[in-house]
Amino acid sequence: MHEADAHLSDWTLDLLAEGSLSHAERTQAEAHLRACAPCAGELDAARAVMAALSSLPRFEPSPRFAEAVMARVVLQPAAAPAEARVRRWLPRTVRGWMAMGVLSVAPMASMAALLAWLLSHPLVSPGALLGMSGRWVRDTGWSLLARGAEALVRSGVWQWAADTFRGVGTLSPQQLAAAALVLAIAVPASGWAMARLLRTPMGGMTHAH
Amino acid sequence: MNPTPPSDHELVVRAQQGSEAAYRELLGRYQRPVFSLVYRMVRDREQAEDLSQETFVRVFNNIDRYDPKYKFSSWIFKIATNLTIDAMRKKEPRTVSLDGSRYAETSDEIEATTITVESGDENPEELLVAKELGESIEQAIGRLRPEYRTAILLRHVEGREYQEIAEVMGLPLGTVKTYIHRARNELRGTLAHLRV
Repeated sequence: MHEADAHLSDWTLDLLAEGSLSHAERTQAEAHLRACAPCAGELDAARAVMAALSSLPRFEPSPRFAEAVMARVVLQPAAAPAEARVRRWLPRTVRGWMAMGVLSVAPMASMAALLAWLLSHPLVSPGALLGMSGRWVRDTGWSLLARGAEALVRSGVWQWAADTFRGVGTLSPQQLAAAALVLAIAVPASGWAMARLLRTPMGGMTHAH
Repeated sequence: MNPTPPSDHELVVRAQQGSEAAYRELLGRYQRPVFSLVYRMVRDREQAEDLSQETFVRVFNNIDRYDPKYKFSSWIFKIATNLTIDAMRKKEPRTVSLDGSRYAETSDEIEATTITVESGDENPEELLVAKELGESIEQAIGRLRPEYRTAILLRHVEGREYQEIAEVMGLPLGTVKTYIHRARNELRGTLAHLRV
């Protein structure tokens, strides 16, 4: 701002018209304006220009504008809702539903027939059948586990892993076994997830009319 | 009671998820501001439509690249001004028209590119004064340098803050303030003969 006897600068008048001066600067400028008609006139002119600019209308584009834009927009692929994801796995035709029903019921019917035949034998009771089944599941489980462990040792992977972790010296064999189990589950699961992801169409969907 | 309308940011997120309605809502919010800015820059309705369309297509087809650090309005105005200034640079004027577009050479082109201002005032005398003032301002804006014009239109017609204008124009804040100050001074000088 200029000295009291000089006119206000264009910059000061501009800030004053816009209301951007500090309180002290505004007080000083207003004191000058009360005694200076030319500066007061310049301030009025600056305010009038701002008011005129702010009252300028906005223009409307042509009525076909929005459709012309949307015709060229490639929409992002929509995220499939949960229901749609489930529906993708369900049959879409009556024949499909029948095939799915047969495939679902056939194993259960076979098992029911086998159970009925076994229970029809005078020496077989439900308790004995249940105990036998439990033992079979347990034996089969241990057998598979033993075979898996043997295959792991034979393949050298166990030795490699043990050497690696022994070098680190932080994990016990039990922990290594646990980690191997986690990996055995996680790796196929990751592969399955990746395959599902790659099957999902990645390209955008063009807006169509 | 009407629900609060979604913010621009919320609409962008929905658009990123594939909602066509969100794109259309953003288009409805910004088509007039963007078109008005571009039209006042190029002063040619057909070219302004093309440039505005291109702005929206670029923004919408790159919606996944939107940086939420900045306002959506800053992003769309930035693309609009960049496209417009590039188009104006490619089409250097051979003659200068005081009424219509700087690029208009024939009387038909001048007439076609002159921005006319409508007024809702019913008093014929006031209507005439308002129309004369409006058209004088439009012409005065048309004579400003493109950078000054962009800055003053964003500030006064679109009501944007200085900081946002600096982001849109990719200029330091001080430069933007200087541009706007000089543009106002030029307009004041140009319009001194009118009762503004």
